[in-house]
Amino acid sequence: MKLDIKQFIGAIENFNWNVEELATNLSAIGHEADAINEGVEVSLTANRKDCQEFDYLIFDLCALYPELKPIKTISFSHQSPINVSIERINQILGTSLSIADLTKLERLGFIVDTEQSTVQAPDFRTGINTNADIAEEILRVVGFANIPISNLNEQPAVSSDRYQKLLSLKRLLVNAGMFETVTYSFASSGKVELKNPHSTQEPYLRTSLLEGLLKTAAKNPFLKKLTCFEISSIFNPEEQLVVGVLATNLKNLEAMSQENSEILGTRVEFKLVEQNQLDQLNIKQNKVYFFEIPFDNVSIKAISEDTKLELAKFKPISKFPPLTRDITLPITEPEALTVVNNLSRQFKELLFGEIIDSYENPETKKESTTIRLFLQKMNSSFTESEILAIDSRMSDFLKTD
Amino acid sequence: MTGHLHPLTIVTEKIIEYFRPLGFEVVVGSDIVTTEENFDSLNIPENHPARAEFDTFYLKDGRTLKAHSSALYLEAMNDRTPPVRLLFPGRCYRNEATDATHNHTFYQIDALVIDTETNLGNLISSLQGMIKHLVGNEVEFRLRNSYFPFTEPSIELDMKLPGGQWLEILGAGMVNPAVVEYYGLDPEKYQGFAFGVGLERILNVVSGVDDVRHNLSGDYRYIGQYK
Repeated sequence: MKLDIKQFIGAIENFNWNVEELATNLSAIGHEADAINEGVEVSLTANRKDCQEFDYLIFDLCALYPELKPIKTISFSHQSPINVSIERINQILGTSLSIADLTKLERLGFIVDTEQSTVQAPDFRTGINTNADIAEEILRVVGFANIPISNLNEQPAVSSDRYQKLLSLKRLLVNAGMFETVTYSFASSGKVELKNPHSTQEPYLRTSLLEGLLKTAAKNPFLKKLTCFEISSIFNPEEQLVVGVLATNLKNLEAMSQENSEILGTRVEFKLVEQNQLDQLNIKQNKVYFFEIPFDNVSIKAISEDTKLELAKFKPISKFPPLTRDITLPITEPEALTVVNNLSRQFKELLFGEIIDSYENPETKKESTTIRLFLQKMNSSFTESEILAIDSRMSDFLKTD
Repeated sequence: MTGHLHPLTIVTEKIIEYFRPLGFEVVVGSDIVTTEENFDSLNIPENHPARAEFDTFYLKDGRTLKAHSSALYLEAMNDRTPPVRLLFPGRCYRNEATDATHNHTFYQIDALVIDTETNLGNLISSLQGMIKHLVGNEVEFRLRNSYFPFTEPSIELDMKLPGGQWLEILGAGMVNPAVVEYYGLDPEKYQGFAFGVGLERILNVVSGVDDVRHNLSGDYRYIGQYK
């Protein structure tokens, strides 16, 4: 319902709010409102007929903001009495109200009989039948500031086996150098069809994670060697949680299969993805392998670590392709992380850097570490001269760092 | 190679981390649910706009893709008796246009507590505690009355951003007596709270992610920023 602020000025004697204040205060008392130009848009909610009539809206506003005075008297009838238990209301809200506090509802047009412990709602308020409904009205009148806040008591840990297994598996796969991806469930073919698909080109639910993982590879053409996984539902036609792993430019298939079999606690075999599937999605990587197994077949050996996870601060991503640089230095992994931190302070183009390989000479025990740097420009691709300049600056920086 | 957990996995675990010491159990549920699970058991009437095909995805066999994680409450309550403290992280689907702040496939985490004593004050404390766990203690909140069919009273929680604007973070409320009764429980004896929060919203607030579509893009430049 769109309302002009002039309507409020005409209906309330001493109205002096601006549009934003009006929208905020209407929302606070339960009438979802947005400020629009010189008025407000009040959203209709399923149970609030008073949002649909301006006079009732004014009545509510003036009832809950006593400093406002309506110009017009609004008359309305009342519904049948409802029995109220103040003890139950206190139990719901966590308050210590008395039966006399119910009379606060009179401001909202209710008739309150404290002797009979009943209330009668005005005719424009439907759906008020239970103590919970009355508790909501009391809350609007007394305000959140008067609700005592108290913590939930601590209770013994409860086992969440399936979730813990899921998180443990994800951590094991990440520790093995893979990244987790999340892809869409909709597909061009399948066994479960949607009645109202989002796109007519994808009216089914997927029967495999393969296409989503291939799209992940396609999204990252700058990563020649990529290993990613997803743990999510497929529909064959029954819904089933599965684990899918995709690896590109795989040098030692048997070693990779063995490593994944150990992680998952069951034998897995990578299968080569056909070239025509790669061509369809314009995938630049070669030797793309994939396997998929039901999550219920996974037998985890290790339990997930206690290391707490942290959310990094997001850096915006450019529309233009990144520049990647792999640099091998005669340093340890911790030293390499310091180098990456120092580089990020010096090079605003650096999105992030990470370790991709490390080596210890068995005879000399000397270590070397390879880091991959992802650089980007927000408003265009790098030109050749810009790339040369970055390489030169980086080389000079690394010599001195 | 350095491996990376997806930021959706990280934010899910960060929220669960707050509730675990309070004895919450995490329930991993399905994407496909019945209309009873998605709507009827949550007091969502037949003519509610959420049921419309422009909002909810329907399968040809009449079932739906869950429009909210609350759709998992019924199955969980069929297997349990109070007291319960449950969390439901998972994928949801709504038939809406995609843009920087909306996607037809998104993630939520819902909570459901039912016992004989948990009240609104406990709910408010839990919500504020969860947000402080994610962003730190220096945060200002605002509560507003709201309406959801499955909670009564219903509230919305806003937090103040560094620029001074208020941002709606989540909806919550005391479980509607009709929902308690649907589980075969006496609504005059049992009560509790429920809330649902969009994980993409939390990623925006905590990490600054500027476009929800990054989450299902598979872009390594996004995922690689997180560990």
